[in-house]
Amino acid sequence: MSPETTSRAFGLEEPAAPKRTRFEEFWRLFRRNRMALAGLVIFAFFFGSAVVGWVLTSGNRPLFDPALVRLQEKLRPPLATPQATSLKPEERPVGGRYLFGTDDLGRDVFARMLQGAWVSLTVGFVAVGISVAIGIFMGGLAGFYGDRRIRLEQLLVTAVLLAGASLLTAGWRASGAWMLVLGHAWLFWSISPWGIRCRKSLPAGLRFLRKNTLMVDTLIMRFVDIMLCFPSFFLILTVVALLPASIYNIMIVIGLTSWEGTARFVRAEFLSLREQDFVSAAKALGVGNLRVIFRHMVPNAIAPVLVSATLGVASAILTEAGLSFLGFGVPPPHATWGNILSDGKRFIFDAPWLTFIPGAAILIVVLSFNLFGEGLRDILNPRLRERQ
Amino acid sequence: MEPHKAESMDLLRIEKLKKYFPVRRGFFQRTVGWVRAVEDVSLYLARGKTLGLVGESGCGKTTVARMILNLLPADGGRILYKGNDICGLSDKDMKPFRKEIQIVFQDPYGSLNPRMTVGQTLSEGLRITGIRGRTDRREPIERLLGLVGMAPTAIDRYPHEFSGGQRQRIGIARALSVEPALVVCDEPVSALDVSIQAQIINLLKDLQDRLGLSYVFISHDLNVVGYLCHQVAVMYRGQIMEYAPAEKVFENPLHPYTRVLLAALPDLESGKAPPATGLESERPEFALTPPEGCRFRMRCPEKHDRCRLLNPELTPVDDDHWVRCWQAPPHSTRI
Repeated sequence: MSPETTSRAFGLEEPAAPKRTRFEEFWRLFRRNRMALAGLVIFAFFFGSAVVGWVLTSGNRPLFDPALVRLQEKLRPPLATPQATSLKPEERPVGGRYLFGTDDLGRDVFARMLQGAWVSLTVGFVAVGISVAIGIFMGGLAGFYGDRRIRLEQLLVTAVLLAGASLLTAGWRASGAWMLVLGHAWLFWSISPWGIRCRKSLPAGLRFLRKNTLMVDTLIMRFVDIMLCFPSFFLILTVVALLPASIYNIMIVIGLTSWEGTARFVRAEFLSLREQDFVSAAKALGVGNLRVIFRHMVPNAIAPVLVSATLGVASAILTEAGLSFLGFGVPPPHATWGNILSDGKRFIFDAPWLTFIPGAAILIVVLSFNLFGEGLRDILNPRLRERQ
Repeated sequence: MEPHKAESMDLLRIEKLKKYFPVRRGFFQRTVGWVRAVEDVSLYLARGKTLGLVGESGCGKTTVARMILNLLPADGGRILYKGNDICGLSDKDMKPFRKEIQIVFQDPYGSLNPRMTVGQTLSEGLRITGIRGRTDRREPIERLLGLVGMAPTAIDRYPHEFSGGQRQRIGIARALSVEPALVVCDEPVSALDVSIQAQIINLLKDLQDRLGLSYVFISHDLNVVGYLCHQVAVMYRGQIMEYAPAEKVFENPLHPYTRVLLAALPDLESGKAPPATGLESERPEFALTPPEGCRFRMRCPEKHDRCRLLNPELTPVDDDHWVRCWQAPPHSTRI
């Protein structure tokens, strides 16, 4: 047989396994994991009610008005029908009953829960979105460019810029502004062609500026270690106490203080992927660094990130509820699960539904995210698959 | 001295290539020693020919391969491709050579991106050659798959749906997607079972005939090397021990290490297992800093006093046969 006929004869055979796309395979495994499936169903229900709740409780004349005060109808139990005959027709609850009862101001708890669901959902997702974005960026930087070293001049420029910014915010306007101008001038000079030429022939006395100092990896990962030293809830409390209370500040602060785990995951994945042959092959083909990172490495590193993001949503919802409960969260007229709970605790014996309903909602949603996240982890990590 | 004369035909010429890896210890990661992975390696490869690089695990074969592709910076020496030194080129300056030199890896499982279909994997190379647009790429991808003996239906499948041999074909197709002149094959068949090995070897040979490729073929299997290669270089501990045309290495091995390797080959006709070579296993402490003198002397059955003191140079015993051994007969023309 000639070489060609051999290769043809053996090569054309079809793989025997049935053709399944990656998603079908994933779904098949996922369906078998009952707990994770339950988590997904609850999450879908929560997502749906948050979106519907947002539509029904916002606008000028909402169907469910979470801010409508009916003092004569205060602390009615769940499923109670309105008693007062003095209610105007538009003040009557939808369906003629208070589904979850009313609070101490006679506001409909069901409407407030709907409004709070949207807050929890957006806080969970936006905060985790921010933390995952920062985590992938920092982890990717540490994993891919980690063995590059930072030169002394780069550290100095950063120090000057940071010092300028902090002086400016601390009130020394003039000196802060001068330092910022100096730092930027240095920065732009050093990346201009003229600066690059000058730096190649530095006099001996200034040559120490080009000395290598820390590795990028050391800098980022030790910063992560430092960030993890702070108990994050108290860090968030401190920051929130300094900032004006608003839902966006909460999201940003939670996002900025919870990226460390993602960064570690991504770095670890990148370190192992960087040595893989398919990455070497891509480099050998001449594929650019950015394309190698985003086309070859990130898709392969995303699985643990997805899992930690799902679990992160649960902890972000919990953190937001905790902040609202302590009174540092979303400012009062707006309802969140945390502040419904907090308002209700004064009436825990007279009106237990005021604490039970938001408490149970938080419990169920956080549990569903945790179950879903753990199911994802089991499926995406083939080594854990056999346990089921 | 160089183990070859200046020849206009040569595609790749490696001169005194060197790579030391630092050994770091302790809290501050101080460098306490060096692993001399590749030292004083000089080779050349003519257009359309195959150069075999043979040696045991850890002798520096793969390090040489990665340096040829500039995936690993060399610490010394030159790599001339078509007369241009490609050692230590920046990513930008290396770009024109990326299309010319390609690699096929040993592990068919790790060498394909599990998240990309075969079509996407092959498109990466086509994108480099400037073929834009998905529909434009379909036809060249099918042609590439045909070239390596795969059905065009493979295009939308993922690597995990294929066997090791098929994946290796895909790896070869990816290397060919940029139409290279030189392909470095880093043990392309070691991870496959014997019947599949023959197919891949025949495929490589067939592609060489059809496309005029040159190969640097790395292997520890002398049978494969004997079948495929025109020139053979035997490496030991980062140095070339013997370098000659394949038939001379097999019929007239002059270095004791080559002789031991050949004696260890099972003889298929007599059906007898090879006799025990009496080669001692390596002492790990010498892996870090090889002792003075010949690197093979600790295990050499024919060692002399001289071997302990001085490392022999790679010297010619014939016009095209070079040996690094004090025992080698002198060049016939010099007497």
